[in-house]
Amino acid sequence: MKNAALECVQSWNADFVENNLKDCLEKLSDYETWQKVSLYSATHSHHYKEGQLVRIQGMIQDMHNPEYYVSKYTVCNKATGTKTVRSGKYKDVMRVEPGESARCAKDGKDARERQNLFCIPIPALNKWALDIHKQNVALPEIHAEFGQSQGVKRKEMDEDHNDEEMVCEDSFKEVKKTEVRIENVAPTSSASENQSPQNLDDIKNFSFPVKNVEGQPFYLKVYEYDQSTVMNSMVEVVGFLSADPAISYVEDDMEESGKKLPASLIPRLHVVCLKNVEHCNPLLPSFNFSSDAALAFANAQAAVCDLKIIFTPLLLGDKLAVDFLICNLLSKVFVRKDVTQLGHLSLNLHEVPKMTGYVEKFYSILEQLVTKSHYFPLTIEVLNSTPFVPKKDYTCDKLRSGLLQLSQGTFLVFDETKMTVGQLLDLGTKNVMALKSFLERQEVEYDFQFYATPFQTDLSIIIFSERKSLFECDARVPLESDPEAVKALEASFEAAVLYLRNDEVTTRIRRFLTAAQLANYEIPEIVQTRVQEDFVEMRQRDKNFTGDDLHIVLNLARLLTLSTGAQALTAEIWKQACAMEGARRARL
Amino acid sequence: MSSPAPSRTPSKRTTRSQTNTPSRDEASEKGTPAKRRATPQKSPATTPLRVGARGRNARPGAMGTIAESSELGTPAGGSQENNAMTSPLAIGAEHMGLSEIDLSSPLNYGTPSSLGSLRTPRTGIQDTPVRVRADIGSERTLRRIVLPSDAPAPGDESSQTGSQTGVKEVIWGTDVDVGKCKQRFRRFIENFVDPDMEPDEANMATTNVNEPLYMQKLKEVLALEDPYVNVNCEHLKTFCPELFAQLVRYPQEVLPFLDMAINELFFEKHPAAVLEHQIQVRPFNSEVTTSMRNLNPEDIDQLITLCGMVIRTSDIIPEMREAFFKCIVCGSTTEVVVEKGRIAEPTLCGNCNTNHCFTLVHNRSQFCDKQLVKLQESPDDMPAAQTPQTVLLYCCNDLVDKVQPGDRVTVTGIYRAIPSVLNPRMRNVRSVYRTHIDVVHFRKSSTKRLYENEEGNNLHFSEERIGQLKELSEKDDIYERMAHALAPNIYENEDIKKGILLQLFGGTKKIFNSQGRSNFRAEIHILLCGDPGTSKSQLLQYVYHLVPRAQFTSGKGSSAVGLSAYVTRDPETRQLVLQTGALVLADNGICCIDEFDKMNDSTRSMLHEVMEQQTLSITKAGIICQLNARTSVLAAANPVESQWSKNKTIIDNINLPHTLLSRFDLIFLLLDPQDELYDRRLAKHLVGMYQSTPEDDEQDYINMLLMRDYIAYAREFIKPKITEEASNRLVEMYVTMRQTGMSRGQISAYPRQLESLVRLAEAHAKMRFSQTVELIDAEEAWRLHREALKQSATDPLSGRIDVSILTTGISSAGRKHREKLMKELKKMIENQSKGTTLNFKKCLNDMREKADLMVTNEMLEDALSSLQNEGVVNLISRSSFRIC
Repeated sequence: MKNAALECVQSWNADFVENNLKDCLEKLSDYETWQKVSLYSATHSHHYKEGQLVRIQGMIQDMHNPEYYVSKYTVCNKATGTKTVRSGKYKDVMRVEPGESARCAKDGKDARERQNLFCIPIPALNKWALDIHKQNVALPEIHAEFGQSQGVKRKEMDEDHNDEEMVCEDSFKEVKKTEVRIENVAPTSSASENQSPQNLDDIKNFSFPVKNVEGQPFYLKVYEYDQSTVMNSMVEVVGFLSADPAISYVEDDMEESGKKLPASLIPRLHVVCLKNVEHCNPLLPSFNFSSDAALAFANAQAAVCDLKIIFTPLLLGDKLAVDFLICNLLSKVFVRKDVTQLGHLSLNLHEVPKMTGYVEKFYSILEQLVTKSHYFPLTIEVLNSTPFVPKKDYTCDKLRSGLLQLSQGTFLVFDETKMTVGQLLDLGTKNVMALKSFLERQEVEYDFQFYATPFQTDLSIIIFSERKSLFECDARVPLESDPEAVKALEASFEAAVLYLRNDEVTTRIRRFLTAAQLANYEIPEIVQTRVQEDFVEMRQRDKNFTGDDLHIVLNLARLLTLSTGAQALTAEIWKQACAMEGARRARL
Repeated sequence: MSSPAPSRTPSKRTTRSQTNTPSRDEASEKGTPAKRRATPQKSPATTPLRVGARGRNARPGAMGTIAESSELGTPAGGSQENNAMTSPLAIGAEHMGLSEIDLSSPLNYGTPSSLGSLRTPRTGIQDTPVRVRADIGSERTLRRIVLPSDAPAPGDESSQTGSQTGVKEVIWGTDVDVGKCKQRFRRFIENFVDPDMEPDEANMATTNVNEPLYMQKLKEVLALEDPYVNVNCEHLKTFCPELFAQLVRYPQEVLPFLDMAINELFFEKHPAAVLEHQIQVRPFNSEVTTSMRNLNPEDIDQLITLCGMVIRTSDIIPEMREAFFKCIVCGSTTEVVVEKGRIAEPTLCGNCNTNHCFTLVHNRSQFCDKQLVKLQESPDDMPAAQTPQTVLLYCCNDLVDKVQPGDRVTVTGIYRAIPSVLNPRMRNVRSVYRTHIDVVHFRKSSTKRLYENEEGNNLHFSEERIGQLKELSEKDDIYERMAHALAPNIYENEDIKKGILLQLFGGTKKIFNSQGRSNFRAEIHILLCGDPGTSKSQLLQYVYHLVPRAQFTSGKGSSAVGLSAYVTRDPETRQLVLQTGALVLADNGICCIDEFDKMNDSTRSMLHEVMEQQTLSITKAGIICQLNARTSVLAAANPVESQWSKNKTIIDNINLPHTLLSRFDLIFLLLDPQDELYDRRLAKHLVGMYQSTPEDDEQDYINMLLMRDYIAYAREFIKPKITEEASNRLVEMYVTMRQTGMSRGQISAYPRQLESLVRLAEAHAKMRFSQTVELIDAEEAWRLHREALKQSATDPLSGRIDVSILTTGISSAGRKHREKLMKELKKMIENQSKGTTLNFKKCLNDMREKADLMVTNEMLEDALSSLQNEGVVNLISRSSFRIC
């Protein structure tokens, strides 16, 4: 009987999940069940009921203090004198019907801890990925199905657990009573403008590293928190929605005022299951990722060929630059040990053609291929006004986000051709320093006012500039332009756009890029010796060739290997990598 | 208002079945106070209560009633029945003169306003007003249960009367025996002697280590009229673990009794003492020193100790402690104690029997100062990639304004969780507890740093961890292990790592204030210089991440001001404030300075004072002060021409003034060896890192965390002293250094070098967790010093190790001896074929046999290195070389 209830994911409620947590989690580990939980969509917020199980995807932007909730409380019906014990898990409020009084232990014996995370929609997610997500949003068919299934379930529950009957009934009632329209509530509270964010737009400006992101931020209430979910992790969450505007936070303490935003603005999600995900490419769902990825990875040759076709004319026929660009697209920090990070390859392409809007156009092609990317024009004004580094704001007890608080694997394209002469102000200088140290160490020091804490950050950076960039990148490639290609540049962009109309091509590339980033890699014993030999030889030829240079070549070799769809380095690719680095050095 | 009889708590019961209520849970099942209040009529406890009351009813009218009303929720003014109640103890008290004093105290806690009438001239204790302990929330009348006991407990042999009446009192809901608890604490105060007292506890110079510590503190109280006694729980734990456990578990209940005990004792000793109010006990350093992250619901209502940084303080809030109510009908007044932030408004006037007739009179109510403080996790406690957590502190009365934002403090207090107010009018109530800590004691760690020598007394390791560290320290190869674990990703350079390792431990601090000499510095300074791309910066980065209080700057970007301190005007207060720079911030830590050579001269000159005197003098904008900057400097510099030129002296190569150079204990050269074998091994090392699954030899790998703890422990607890033997050896070494210089007519070593040797030897002893500096420490210091010098002070012309290059910048040439040796060596080499690798030791023995010279280890090394310059041999490692 219970099994039947388990099957019907949409009808799970808090008490049911609490009593059958193990079964439910097991059920959720199945992809189909997972998919059945309706994906939350901000634009259709009125379709969701209070206490409904929903699924979201997002990034942890801030972590608040854990809170203690009342795990159980006694409700006494004044009329009949009957006492019931109710659970407070997965709830924001104690449920007290008229004519009832609730009571919880004064000394906090029933207190249990839950973690409080602030989750925002994944920043810099590109439009195509968003579109796919939107297609996946299957709005819950509440009107007929929901009620019916609830009824069925009640019957079953009656037979199985008699004691739960009342709870079920109540929650059912409540669901009907408190249908919430999240959007409608928002404007009312935005009337009062304070320094702390009051409406959704403020929140977005405040907490989102990149502006103009659509989507709904959430407070996650995590009951079984293991330390693995950290700042900036991407998560997929299934939990109970709680957006009841009745949960107002009228607290008199200095702590509470202005800190918590009404649930109608930022709904709470009581987490049943939280998964950390390594990527958010909707074309490669995290379930049975390995087989899908292998498939995508097998298409490497075709995908890389497509990439070359697209980018060679755009980079003025410079094949070397295209090779480096592809390597950059596959790069990801894969080892962090003490102070060494390996795998990143930030790229500075300079001598770009003097065509207005070249970088923007280039970016518009790029953003159709990668899952997450952001274009940032480096001008004096923007540098002086946009914070790069997240900073804790103690007046509202929130972390003010900065550009560099992007989730792992985001592409950040800086357009330095926009730079003009001017004076950097305080913020601008800090930004420049932050970007510099980030390029050096793949780490951003978040500003907690009294001290700075380093956070490991993994972003791929491409800087376009007219001359050598202000910022030291791992690889600097001056473009060698083919005059023919320069003339045909306009046409090339149009051609690239046309080329990408082909869904097959884009899908192939998108899948491949994600799969390759996450692929494993090794260097066979025999190639290792070869590398050693070569290094010794290189050293003898050029005394200035140091260990750091070897790192670059080794990294290139790794990325080239992945770009061919292989996972082990071969002697040829090693040679190719050496040649590539050699050619690049020759240009400097 | 009422007599000091203890009997007013109506919930007091005389019941045999109640004799042991040990655990809190059990107690709560029987009905916590909170529950009972709501359903007083139904409670089974009423029966024994009445029995007890009736049976012993002896002192009618002696009772206060306010406490009852707050207990039971009955109207203030109470019923007559309550008034008539008296506990058996009160009777007992009447028979025994002394006990009146003991028993009076808890009542005083309950109703401080009733003091006036209580005063009797007999003892000082009653002359001194009690001050409500807002910090522990003891405004609630203490609930005790009187239990008849069959015989006096065997432990109670002292003259205390309370427990010998044949009954014993326990605190409501616990198994804490009041009398015993007081006695124990009294014994503790009277007898506890702490031989190794922490310096900040002895705030009076007269404190005698061999006398009972807290008795001396009571004298201090008398002298200073500052009625607070700080009690280190660590002491209490060693003296009486049981009392300690009770204190930690039921702080709110136990603390008042400790107060009572200490007051009795105090006024017995000093009956004429005049204090502002009665002495309050402030425990600190409770065992449960947790990081904020480890707080969990189980800690609620327990005494906890936390470290953190204050980030915000609120304005002072007047908080009502006692509400004054007046009946609007008959004008009778009553006072109600605020309990857990709420006032139980009396409904029925006991005088005129009118319902709902009371109004609150604000200006006759009592208030106390209260402040909200936000404490944030300090960065050291934070796990990676998480944001710091905060916790709210409530501090009251004189603890208000004790701390400022930015202070690092250790807080002892009671952890509280308060449920949201249950408002009957609201249908939905947040099911979340609000948590805070009622502060009992603040201990600042940051201000202390400015004038005290030791810091970080808040260092606590679990027994287990200490065991682990000690076990590690006993390993024979601990030195190699640690050096290996230091920046494992940086290839080889073992000696440099060893040097940095010793720097991390530092020497022993010595104070010669009495002799008019300022401190000898204990910090070791290291300069790394050499070719670009030899992972100097990475070493610096590693150290920066390893050491909790480290600063990282680049010589290029920093100014003298940024390194030292500067004065700015605070935008809010318009006051001049001193902003400290990297060197001051790294006090007691390490300041890593990259690109040391690119620093401009004025900045560098400021380092002179910091590096030797370990202070920083500031004279500007009306602020003249000297700040402590006891930091070790780890600097990295590049040669003038990007590549190290072997034909130049180090001073020419680095282009730093030798005054500054001589302040570095160790100067290491990181030179690109330009050697095939080295390249090959380096390549292998690097390639290995690119495997997707880098193999980790976990067994003998000491991770950063363990290393950090190890160093912290050694720095904190190991203070090695030099043994006779070692000191002789050190002197010998120094004399040798001097003599080698003297023989050439030049002073080659200065006392600074001797100091360096001492520091290095001490650091090495620390690393072994040894409290004495022994011969091996001295030897290693000597070896490392030579090793560093050999690289840095090699005269390119002679190849000879010459300290004078560092100290005076001039090299002397006295190479007869060595030329002979070189000749012999060349002879030997000619006999060998090219590419042969020779063992150093074997070669040394051969040389000793062949040449009729005194050949020492060092001499051979010198000779070989100069041969290497000539390109005849190639030094592979310390133990072997190859013929080219």
